[in-house]
Amino acid sequence: MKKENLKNMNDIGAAEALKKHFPSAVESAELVNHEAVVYVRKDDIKKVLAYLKEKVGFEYLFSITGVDYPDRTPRFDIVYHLKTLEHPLQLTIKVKVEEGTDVDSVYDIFKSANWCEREAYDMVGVPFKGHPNMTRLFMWEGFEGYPLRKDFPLYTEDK
Amino acid sequence: MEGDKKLSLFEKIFFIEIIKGHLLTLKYMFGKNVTVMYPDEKRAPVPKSRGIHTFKLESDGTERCNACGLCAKFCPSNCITIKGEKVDGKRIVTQYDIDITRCIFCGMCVDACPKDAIAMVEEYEISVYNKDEMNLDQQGMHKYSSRVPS
Amino acid sequence: MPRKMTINMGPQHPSTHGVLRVILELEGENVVGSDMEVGLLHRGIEKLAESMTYQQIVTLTDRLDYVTSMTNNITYVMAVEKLLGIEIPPRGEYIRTLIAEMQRVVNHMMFVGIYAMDLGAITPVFQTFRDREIILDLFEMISGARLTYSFFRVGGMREEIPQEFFDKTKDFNDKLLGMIAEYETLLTRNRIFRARNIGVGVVSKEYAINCGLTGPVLRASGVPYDLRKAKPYLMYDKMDFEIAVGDNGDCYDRYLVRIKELKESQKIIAQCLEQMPSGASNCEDYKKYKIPKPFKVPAGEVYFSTECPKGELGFYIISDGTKSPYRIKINSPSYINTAALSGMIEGALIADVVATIASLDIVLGELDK
Ligand code: SF4
Ligand code: SF4
Repeated sequence: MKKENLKNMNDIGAAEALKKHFPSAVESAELVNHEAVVYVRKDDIKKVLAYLKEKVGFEYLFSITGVDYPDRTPRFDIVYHLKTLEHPLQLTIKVKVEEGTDVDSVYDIFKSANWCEREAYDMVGVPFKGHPNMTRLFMWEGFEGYPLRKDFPLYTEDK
Repeated sequence: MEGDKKLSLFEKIFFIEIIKGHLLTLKYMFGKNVTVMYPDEKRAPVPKSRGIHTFKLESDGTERCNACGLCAKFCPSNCITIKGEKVDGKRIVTQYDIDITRCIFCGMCVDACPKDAIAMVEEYEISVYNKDEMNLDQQGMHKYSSRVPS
Repeated sequence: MPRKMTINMGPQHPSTHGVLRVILELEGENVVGSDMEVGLLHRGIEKLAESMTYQQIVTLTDRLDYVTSMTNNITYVMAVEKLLGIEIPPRGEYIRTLIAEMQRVVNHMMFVGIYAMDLGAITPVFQTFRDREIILDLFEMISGARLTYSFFRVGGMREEIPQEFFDKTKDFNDKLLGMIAEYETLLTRNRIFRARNIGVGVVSKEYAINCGLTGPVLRASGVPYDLRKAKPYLMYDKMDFEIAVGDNGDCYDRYLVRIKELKESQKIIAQCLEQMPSGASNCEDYKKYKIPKPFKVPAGEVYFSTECPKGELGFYIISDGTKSPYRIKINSPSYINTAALSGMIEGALIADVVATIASLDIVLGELDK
């Protein structure tokens, strides 16, 4: 997977090239309605993202999302969205995280991960290891529960 | 970028850009006023403005609404309460409340109604002194009915 | 060794554009460290959306960035349309392009006015608000509201647009360059304005990309990235316009980029009006997506983003095949730009902090979601 080849690639081509380069770290690479979704093993996420940034040119990380699937183990998906600014390419990188475990922070690679990781922690409760300030972003300190988990109630009775 | 170049000495000494700016403001001192002095003067809202809700009535003065409840189901902020009952084989509303404090005036209830029974009129001054009055009941829904074509 | 002092700017501060709280650590008048607290306007839009049908969520997107509701609506409905695989007829696309650009004009006018006001100039805000009002009136004419339009629907729009709207838009558009020239007379070469701007809040290209900055802030730092060109959506590939790019990445460049974008928008609006085709503007089976019947969306996921006036607004929607989304993530430009603020104001004076925040053009409703 090289920077020069990106020009003639589409999203899924880039995802498959990534899988070829990291046969063990990348679990799957497939197209889900127009999006190239790559599942990466949790322990390798930092390595893969660093490679994508430095060697391939996916230098723009703009969103980190936590998604909760209560019936599945591992329970959470952390979704990274990356793109290149030179070509119209975009990758959706996902890691599966079990409740109670943490993911490596990518803050030292992408500064934009700062708030994005805090938000993901705030909303679904997946902590990021190595983040300098792993506190809640939107909810106040001392708030209990994680609002975007599926078992968090939408309405509560007024007291 | 253009516009980025330094002020020339001529501009610097004679305050050219400042004078130009002042001339522009001076020009408007003699122009027509554009500010509408609300509440003494009122700007006419466009006819379609989404203001307060009202019932549309049949030509004989009865409500069109048959309490089907679709508007309540579709309201994004869940602020409509409807009760209806069957009288002479026809469903009529017995209770129709809109909690105006929660309404976001999105107009989805109007779009949702299959009978075209409610409308929104351009009345926007709906503030009151008492929070309890911020509830539009069935009676209140008749207030502007004459304004909408049946 | 001067004593350090910590002061609290906001959340109730006129120039933090809402309820942003910036905690500044000062040495004399220089900022040596800063921290931010956000979330004071958090309404849980993402959580709420999970309980609503796809049509109802349009009303929530209005309330993200309440200055540019139209582009929020467009982005959201286009994301859902991409998931559903709906095609919109050309007239519909042209109308969306036209309205998106008008919304950009509104936003940038408001930016110029408020920005000047934050720096202490009171006149421009009257000029820009007077002109912005014309477009608000036009939008009111088609949608019935002045800020929270909820005008676009999945598959089309709320109602047909009358011809009068296009005529009035044309009148407005013909005068637009004159209006921009007025703002420029008041600001661009004004020495006080320049002194407060040039070299203030400099963002380097690397920092901008690394922080994921977006919109005019990114472009002012010399990165020619605009989604309208990079990944053309709607009718932008048929339009003739340029991307505004700055060189220095300071506040002044961010202002110039927006002025240039105003002019480019004027061009796009003129082209849209000229090329506006006739025919249907809603998709073929629009009845299927119309209120009051909720529709189901096939399972899958989509990320769709457009170039909103403030930057890239993206919706990441995961659907599980029901009437409401399983998860919606809103990737908003104000959020990502504000996150980088701490690095921009390092070493600056307090007064420059105000200028920097204002030059980012943030809306807290969008930041806090
Ligand atoms: S306007 Fe919107 S919020 Fe208000 S009652 Fe109708 S549907 Fe509900
Ligand atoms: S107003 Fe319309 S939608 Fe609402 S209950 Fe009456 S008939 Fe049904």
